[in-house]
Amino acid sequence: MTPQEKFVNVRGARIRLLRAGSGEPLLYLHGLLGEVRWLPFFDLLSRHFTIYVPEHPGFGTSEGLERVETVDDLAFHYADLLDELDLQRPHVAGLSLGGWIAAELAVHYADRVRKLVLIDAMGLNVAGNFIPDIFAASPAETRALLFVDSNSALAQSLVSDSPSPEMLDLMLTSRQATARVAWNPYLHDPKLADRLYRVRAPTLILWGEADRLLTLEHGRLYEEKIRGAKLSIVKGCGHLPPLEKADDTARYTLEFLNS
Amino acid sequence: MKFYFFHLMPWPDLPADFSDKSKHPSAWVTLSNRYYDAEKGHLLYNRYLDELEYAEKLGFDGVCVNEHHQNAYGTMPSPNIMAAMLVRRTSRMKIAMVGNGLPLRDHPLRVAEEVAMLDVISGGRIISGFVRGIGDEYYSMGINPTFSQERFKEAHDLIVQSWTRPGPFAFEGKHYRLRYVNIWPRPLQKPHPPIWIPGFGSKETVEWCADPARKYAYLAVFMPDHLVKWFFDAYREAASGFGYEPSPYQMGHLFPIYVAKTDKQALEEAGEHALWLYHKGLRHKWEMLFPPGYTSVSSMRRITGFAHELNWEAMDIKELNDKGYCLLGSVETVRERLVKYIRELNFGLLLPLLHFGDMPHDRTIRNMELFASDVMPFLKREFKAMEDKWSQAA
Repeated sequence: MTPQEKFVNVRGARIRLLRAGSGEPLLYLHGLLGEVRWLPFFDLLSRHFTIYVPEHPGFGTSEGLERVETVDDLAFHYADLLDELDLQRPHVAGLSLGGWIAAELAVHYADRVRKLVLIDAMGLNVAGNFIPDIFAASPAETRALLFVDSNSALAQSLVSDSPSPEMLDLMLTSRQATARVAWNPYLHDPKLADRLYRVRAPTLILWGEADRLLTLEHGRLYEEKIRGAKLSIVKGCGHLPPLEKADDTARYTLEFLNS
Repeated sequence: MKFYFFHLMPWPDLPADFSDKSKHPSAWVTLSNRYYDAEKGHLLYNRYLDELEYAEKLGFDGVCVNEHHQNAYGTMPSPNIMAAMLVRRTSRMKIAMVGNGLPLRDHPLRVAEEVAMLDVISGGRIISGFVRGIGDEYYSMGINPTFSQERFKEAHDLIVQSWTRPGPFAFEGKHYRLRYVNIWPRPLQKPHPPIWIPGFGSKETVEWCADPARKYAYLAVFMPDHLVKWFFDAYREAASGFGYEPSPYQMGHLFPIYVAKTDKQALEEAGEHALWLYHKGLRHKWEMLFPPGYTSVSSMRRITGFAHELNWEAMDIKELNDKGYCLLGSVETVRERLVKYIRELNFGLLLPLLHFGDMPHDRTIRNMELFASDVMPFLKREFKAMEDKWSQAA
């Protein structure tokens, strides 16, 4: 399937967006690498849903980072985007940074989220669980933190040692826009855990079995804090299940959304 | 020409296996402070302060201290404390803090007050440098680097206003909000102590300094000749765009200099210490030197293009010396190279780092003395016309 690339104006900021498929709307919020290009995972989901993949403010060519200071600014941004797209109550799935934003959206706007899928989501702090410093990591160290097989072609293509100018721009903007909300407190919002009781959407937590950045403990904490949430583990996978294990991740996601 | 002896106060005793980069990827942030020995530190701080005080006797126009955190490269987390000690032990020369790391502090008025105190106590001998702090320090201090530029500018505005506007007044910023700005004391120099800005790679900073509302001195730090030229040209171009000709005292060059009887002797005596600076003290992890958002994406693109110029460890002492990262040579060589630099680049502030790396005290003193007797007066004479034309502006 070929996605449609569009640009949406959200409060004056030009936001890039991919859209494909048909059926109920599904909003996908991307992770720290800014994976807003057509991936096998999106293809699998678009057979059953109308999938929307917007690029966060400040990532790649999306504008609007100057208005983002903390993660709740991103939650409000997505409430605005839903209004702009006239999506009343879509399913929302988010990976890594996007999972964190999805959780915040579901806290602030509980009635705008039909079903929620959090995949290796940032956002929580597990006491005593020291998260490695992704901002200080070299490309090789980043691959080792994010992928089970850090030498795979996939890992090399997403986190390159000698990026093309376009790839370098994406890496620089992604790193900057992530740090904007995630530098300190590091990759989490200290208030989120205590607010997760507000989430009303049925929730699936998906976690890469071998996520070295955010260990499974983070997934378990989400499961504990969100009423009725169910945790499923993606075997043989690191921090980025939709990228590293597209088939399994899509299967879990579709089973949950279709149930 | 004005001459300011710059000291970094490094911690020289690195672990024996420091050359193993896989074990010690950086002299910053992660190098354990178990390598710091406070008993030795007591002697070292006092020795370094002696060297700075001695600069006044030798006729330097001033000395420079600075701020760095959690590293072996420079052990002055607070330049104001260093300046406070020097103020009462000297009477003539200027004392430059180059500078206070504004975004790293949570309260800019603390900087404004301390600098004003020093200025009043010293009788107006203070030069107030402002820096953003280098990238590594955003890791050390936990400050979000994506707000670095705006925090710097806002803290700067607040400090300058607190020095120049009668208080009390309110300050309404994004990062700093105060209902009562009314600092006691106010600085002695009017409108305020001179402001110097050391730079490391951002053209935006040069343009900001050159703005006629500021006319701050821009200092090129540890750059090879052609980059110094690039930044000074950018400064002149910006000033010309604002419709004025900048004074040479708006441009400064900071780099290690060592003078000996012969070129050979200079390299033999100081080569290892310069290599300590460039191969050890300046060993950074790239991702820490450039944290996310610390420089704009467009500047980062440019910096990525000249990354090899920051890969000091790939250069031997000859290359470092030839390219202008340092200047080690006989009196004749040092005079000749400096005359050429100053003619070509037309700058008026020279900030020689006359102690660097693990240089022992006696060598430092010999270097300072030879520079003060055989280089400094020579250059002052050679560039007397600059002095005559611009000294008022300085």
